[in-house]
Amino acid sequence: MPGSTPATGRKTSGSPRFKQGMRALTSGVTVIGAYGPDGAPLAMTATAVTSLTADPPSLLVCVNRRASIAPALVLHARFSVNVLAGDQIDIAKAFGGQLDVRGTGRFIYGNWRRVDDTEVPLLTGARVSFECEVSHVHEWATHHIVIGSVLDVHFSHSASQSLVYTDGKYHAVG
Amino acid sequence: MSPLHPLKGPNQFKLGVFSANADGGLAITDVDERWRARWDDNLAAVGIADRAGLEFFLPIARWRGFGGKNHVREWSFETFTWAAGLAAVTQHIGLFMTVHVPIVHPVYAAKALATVDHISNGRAGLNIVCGWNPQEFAMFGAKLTENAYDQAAEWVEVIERCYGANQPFDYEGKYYSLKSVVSRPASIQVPRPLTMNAAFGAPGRDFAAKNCDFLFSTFSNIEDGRKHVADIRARSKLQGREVGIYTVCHVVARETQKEADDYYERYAVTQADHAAVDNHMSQKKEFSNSHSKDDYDLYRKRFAGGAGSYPLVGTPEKIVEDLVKISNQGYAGAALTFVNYTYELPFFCDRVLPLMKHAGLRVV
Repeated sequence: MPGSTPATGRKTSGSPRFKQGMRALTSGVTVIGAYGPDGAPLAMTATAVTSLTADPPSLLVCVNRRASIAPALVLHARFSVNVLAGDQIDIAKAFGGQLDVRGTGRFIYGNWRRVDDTEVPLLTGARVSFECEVSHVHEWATHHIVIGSVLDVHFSHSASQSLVYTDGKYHAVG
Repeated sequence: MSPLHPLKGPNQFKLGVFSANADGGLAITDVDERWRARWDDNLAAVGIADRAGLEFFLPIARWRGFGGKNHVREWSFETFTWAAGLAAVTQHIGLFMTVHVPIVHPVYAAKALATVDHISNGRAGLNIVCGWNPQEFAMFGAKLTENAYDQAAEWVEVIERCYGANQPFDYEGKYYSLKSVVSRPASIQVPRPLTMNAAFGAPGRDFAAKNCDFLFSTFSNIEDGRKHVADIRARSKLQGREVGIYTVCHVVARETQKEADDYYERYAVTQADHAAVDNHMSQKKEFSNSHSKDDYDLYRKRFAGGAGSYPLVGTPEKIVEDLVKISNQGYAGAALTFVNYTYELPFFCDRVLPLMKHAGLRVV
């Protein structure tokens, strides 16, 4: 595997304890959408998404390299980051692998629409959807760290609550 | 912001209007007010349904009629062009097209479907049918094939690849051999417009489980519905998919039960177009898998009333009682037919919809 190998910390507590600790970090919930190498749409629930810079507008997404969407997030690929609204728990679960739906069968959850020119799949009813282009991919252990330059921002005017994930559960807040 | 496809909306039990594009709707009757399916009739009916918040309009695909006195179904609008016309004059309602796999090439279907999806701003839907009527196939010089659903699976795959990001593509299947296919625009909906099918037999249901978002299934008694639901759910779970299960009902809604019963008896028995009923039943019995033999013998009235679908006949209260039972079997919605859609939809929408809301079947 190409990329960096993380140095082992002096006093590592191991990943179970790390995961236990990260349960306390409350985060927003997004679904990332893109087209796979075979041309079919892919989407995945992700909480490891963060704002990077406002100028230029860019964000950062961490994706396990074994995730089905990982091969789609190559340099210059277009993708969307859809920030889920409070009533989109089912969508979070469907694209997070927590329901009995696989592959494009997952798209029965949510109303997905193509952007006119770039054809990026956007999720209707998300609080906001960021339309991005992959500007940089950095390898770190099991994950791709993807930097997306934001091409456009699509707002929802109807969604009022946000979905957050904390202690292994989804909650609507706001 | 982009609208939500109505079939992905909040109502627990969704409602649509079926077969308004064809003479008679689903009825085979000779009453004066029988449905003529003129363009103005379609415009009026879809307007009522759209304003009332019904979720979908679903056409029937017919290329010839069933004879009889009125040549019932002979007059029917082609469904891509019908849906395109209705898309331009409606705001919210989902618009299906009903397409015969062996008659329409998938690359043509992909472009026509995408066109309606754009005109409607993402409200298009595709009802995939393999066909059962050899006389209709003969008009096209086509034959019924043994493995119709194998062809249908390739057909859908071609459409989905037309909408995929990789263009152009070659396709080499058993039924289609295609070179350097491109098709733009793609549909607005991702991965494609919603799809449905009304298969009854095992191969058709497996096809639907793998390729469709909705499956329409009729029943003779409401209680029988549960086993269809369980069967379809099990098949779709194997495919890692969820398929919504809908049914078809013909409706006579009146202020009193007696009025409703009397009218049902009149249009579906006393004044049925008997010659056409005979024709329709004999053809379907021989060539279609869509109903069991017992149904044919037992429910001639239901064939004249609504092509063998389940009757919702009575007061608004009685109809909602039946709809609650249907919902409790696991059905997610129903496509409805009426003798005359424009005469009868207003009463249905004004009187039945509020009771459905009260019963918890609908929120809007």
